[in-house]
Amino acid sequence: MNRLIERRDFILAALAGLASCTRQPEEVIVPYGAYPEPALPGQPLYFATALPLGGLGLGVLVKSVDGRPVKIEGNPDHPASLGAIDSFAQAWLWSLYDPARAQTITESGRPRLWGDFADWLERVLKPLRARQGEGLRILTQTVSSPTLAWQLAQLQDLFPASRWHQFEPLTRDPVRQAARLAFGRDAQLRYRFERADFVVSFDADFFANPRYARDFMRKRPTLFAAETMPSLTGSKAARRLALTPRRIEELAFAAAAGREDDPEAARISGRLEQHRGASIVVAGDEQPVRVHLAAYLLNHRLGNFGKTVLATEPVEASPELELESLAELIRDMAAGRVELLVMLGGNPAVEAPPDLDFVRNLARVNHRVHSSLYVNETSRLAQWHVPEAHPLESWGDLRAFDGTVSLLQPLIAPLYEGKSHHELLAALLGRSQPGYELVRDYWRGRAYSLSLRAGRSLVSEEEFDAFWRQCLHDGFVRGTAAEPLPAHVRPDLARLLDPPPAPAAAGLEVLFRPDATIWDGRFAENAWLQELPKPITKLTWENAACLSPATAAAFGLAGGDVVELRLKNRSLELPVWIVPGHAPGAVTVTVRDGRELRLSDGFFSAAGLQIRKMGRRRRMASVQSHHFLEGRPLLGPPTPFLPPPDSGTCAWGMAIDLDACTGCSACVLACVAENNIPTVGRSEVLRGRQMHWLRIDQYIQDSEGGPGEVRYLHLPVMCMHCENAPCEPVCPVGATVHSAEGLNEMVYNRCIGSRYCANNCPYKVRRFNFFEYAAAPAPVQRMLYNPEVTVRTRGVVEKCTYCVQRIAAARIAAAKDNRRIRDGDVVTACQAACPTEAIMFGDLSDPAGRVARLLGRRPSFVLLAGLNTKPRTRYLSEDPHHV
Amino acid sequence: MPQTLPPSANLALRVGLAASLLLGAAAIWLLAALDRSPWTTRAGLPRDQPVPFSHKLHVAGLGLDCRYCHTAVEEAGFAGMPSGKTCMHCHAQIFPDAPVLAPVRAAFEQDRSIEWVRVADLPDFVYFDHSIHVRKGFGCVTCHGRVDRMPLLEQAVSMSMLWCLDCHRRPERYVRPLDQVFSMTWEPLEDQATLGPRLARQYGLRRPTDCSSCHR
Repeated sequence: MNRLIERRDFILAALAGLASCTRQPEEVIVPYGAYPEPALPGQPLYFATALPLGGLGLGVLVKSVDGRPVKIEGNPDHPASLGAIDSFAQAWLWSLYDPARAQTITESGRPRLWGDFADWLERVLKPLRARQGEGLRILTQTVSSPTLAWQLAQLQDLFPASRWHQFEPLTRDPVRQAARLAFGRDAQLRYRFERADFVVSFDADFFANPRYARDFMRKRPTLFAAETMPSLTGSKAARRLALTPRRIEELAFAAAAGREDDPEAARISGRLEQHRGASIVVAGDEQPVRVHLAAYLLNHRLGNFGKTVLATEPVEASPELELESLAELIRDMAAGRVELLVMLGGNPAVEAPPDLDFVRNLARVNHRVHSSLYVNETSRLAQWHVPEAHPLESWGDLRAFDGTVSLLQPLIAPLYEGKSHHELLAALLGRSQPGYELVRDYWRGRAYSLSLRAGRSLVSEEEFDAFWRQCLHDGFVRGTAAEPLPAHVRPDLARLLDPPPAPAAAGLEVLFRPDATIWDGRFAENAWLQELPKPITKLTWENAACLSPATAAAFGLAGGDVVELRLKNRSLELPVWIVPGHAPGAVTVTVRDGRELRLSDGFFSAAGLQIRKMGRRRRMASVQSHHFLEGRPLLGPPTPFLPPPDSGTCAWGMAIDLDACTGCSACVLACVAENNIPTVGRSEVLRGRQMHWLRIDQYIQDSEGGPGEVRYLHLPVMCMHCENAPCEPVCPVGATVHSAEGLNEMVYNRCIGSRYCANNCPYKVRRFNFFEYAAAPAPVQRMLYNPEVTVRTRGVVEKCTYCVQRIAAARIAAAKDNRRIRDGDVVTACQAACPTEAIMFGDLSDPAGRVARLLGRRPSFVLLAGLNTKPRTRYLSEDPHHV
Repeated sequence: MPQTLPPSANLALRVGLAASLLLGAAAIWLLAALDRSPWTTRAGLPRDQPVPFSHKLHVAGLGLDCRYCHTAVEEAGFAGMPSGKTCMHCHAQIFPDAPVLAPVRAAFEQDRSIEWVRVADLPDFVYFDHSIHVRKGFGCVTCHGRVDRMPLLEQAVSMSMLWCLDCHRRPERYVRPLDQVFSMTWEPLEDQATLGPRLARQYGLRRPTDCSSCHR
């Protein structure tokens, strides 16, 4: 093109000199007084640690730059991760730098020192000691930590009459109870999806475990799912039945009892019979004991135990029926038998079933201590509140789902006056020791017995030191996976199975389920998770009562209508959200939102729910309709890639396996953390201004399963790095240009915010900073930023860069060794996080590279093929539903 | 009807138009010149520091290698600044009580940082990596100038994007043998026009001019 004057030159001339209005600000360099080892400034270091959820640990690698953790990724060596990670573990980083965390020890709201607390504790414990600790109660969440269990055992020795209770709102009581019935003792099940050909799920969302998701997608067995609320696991089912909790019970019973009168059950049994020893029947954690027993019986009869289903020693330190344990504690509180209650973590004031009246009875306890990350309802009812040290600030240990012990090591000294549970328990034991010594002391003892078992005897301090360093380096202790159980399922198991009772109450059924992003409510303060669109509902920052279109129609409800949910004289108001594929006749609420209705005899589901329309509406911050692709035909056949300009230049491209994508959104959070993407808040989301560079579009298709049966399809969409990029020619200032390697680049310091590019992008992947979103409200939150990525200012457009900072790092490393970038050198943040390896990135010009091979081998598609944008991102799928 | 303006008004208008054009051009030129002037770039302005450290004395006088203090330069993006301990290797013995070295002693004894004023300061949206430049044959002098002649450090060049691109477009004009990267005085023995392209081939130099080479 021969123009007299280029557009950029004209604007340059017109604006000449404006640049000199700003002068570089004077900056300082602040070196260390003395460099710590290793002393390369600005170079990242990676440390292995683990992060908790529901008492279990997920092994992670934390990237630390100049002493501050900036990114959490999965630990490839850890058996629970294999490199994968979920959203929760990644989001711990946000809470580390959250200035709203509890910062000081308080007594009735007044700030105190740790010494004050220790003195007070000593005064209170003195009379208790004389009474063998009668009146001392400890309430924790589910504990798997060996060190914590060891400390609690020591406490039991010191105070024999004291008692330790465990409780979590998402307690796995039915799982424990079923194991006790089936084995006559505590046990844990471990599924081997990589050995299965056929899987039946009774409302089990096992994709929540990243390791299970990975195993499943490596083998891709046929999945049959019966569930009430559509789940990510259900979205990958070959056949999915939407059933109410009661119907699921009936179905599981009928299948286990071999009843021929239930056609669905007969169908399941028939398919299972074809895959003896290579099938798995999974019951969801929240399912009643009856469903678990049915699954045991089916797995037993099919010969799956020992092959695809392994029974092991329990992973929890001391499994107990938590609801019973809590009820016993509350009874004792009511009877005035509790003198000192130490609550470690959790928020029992809102999590305990309301019929147990925890709050009223707590007032009868003389001395109340609570330790948690945030000051919550329970903290306000306790006299003493001790801020809990963040998992990235403390020493500790946790067991993974398979029992492997992971060590927690701090990435940073506690930012506030946080104390770990280990340190608090040590104070109860009368010795104030730092967490490091406590955990190390325990492992010094364990290392000896572990080494004996391995046929060596590890005795000297040097040998222990080498063992300890190796474990910290790996992030876990080898050889600690739960031992296989010698016992078998009791032979008369079938006699335990009884048919579900006839429905007792009229009305709807209600289910209480974990929330996809804030779990049982413990992540409610986390802005990253709150703004992460929940899979299936695509809601952000809020929740709703989910019901099926048919139920909504029966009650004359539209999405956002506020209703009163009434169950046994308790009521609660919530907006409703219509979820296609939800079972008619049931309503799903999250455990946190539905806590008022979660009675101890219907903790996970109940019947007899009444709905009343309140006549009010709420605008719901759902992102389902944002960034709409105008209903154009979605996926189409690709055209060949353009060759790179010369043989020395890489051609970057991405392949996304839609058959493997579960829609879990771990990649979205990985992108947020890697690329300094701001959160904008609910009001801005309502205006469609969320900033996520990567979104998971969700498509709902009618399925062949019958009327009302639908399929959820997940489509991750980020910048496609089009070879014919429509955004580039419309930029008036050349702020978005193409690189030789095929990247569509965004130059923030050129961008003047015309937003022409965003308008012209058919994929709607460009985001505009309407405000100074990145201006952190508190200085501590600036520590969250990845120093390798520019923090964008107001008025510029931004979008996915294919993690160009990682490409640059790999390029520099390769150039230093005088070699080409190798396949696998560049792993984008989304790719690293993905539990199912659905995202692959690499050099398309390398025919031996993974992406190029995949694209050559499997059918691939491009998004909006008709526009001839020639995207570098392609989608793989063999599922005809996707096209 | 008589004319309102005398004939000389034509001339005045022409002169006025020409003058305003000239003035406009001059203003644009002035702003552009200001943009490139040391006032904006701070090139050639010696900067006051908390300790009046003299590169001239330490490099030319004592013959210290750059890497004695800037230890990370071959490995990391940031060249590294010496800790108080590095200074005290010598200054525990030499001028141990000099008042001018008080901040150095404080840094070492109390682990307190010295806040050096940054002299070679690129904008935060530029991601410069020292290690790849020195490992590919670009001398310290090329960008930082003859620091061995600077009693107080000053920025030797404008460090504007145009200046960066000059080398990124034609690296063979500035590349030097790897063993001469840290030399203050190296001059090519042969013509750079023949040495440069040969080294560029040998070191596998690229011409990174994509925006994302530096901005991301």
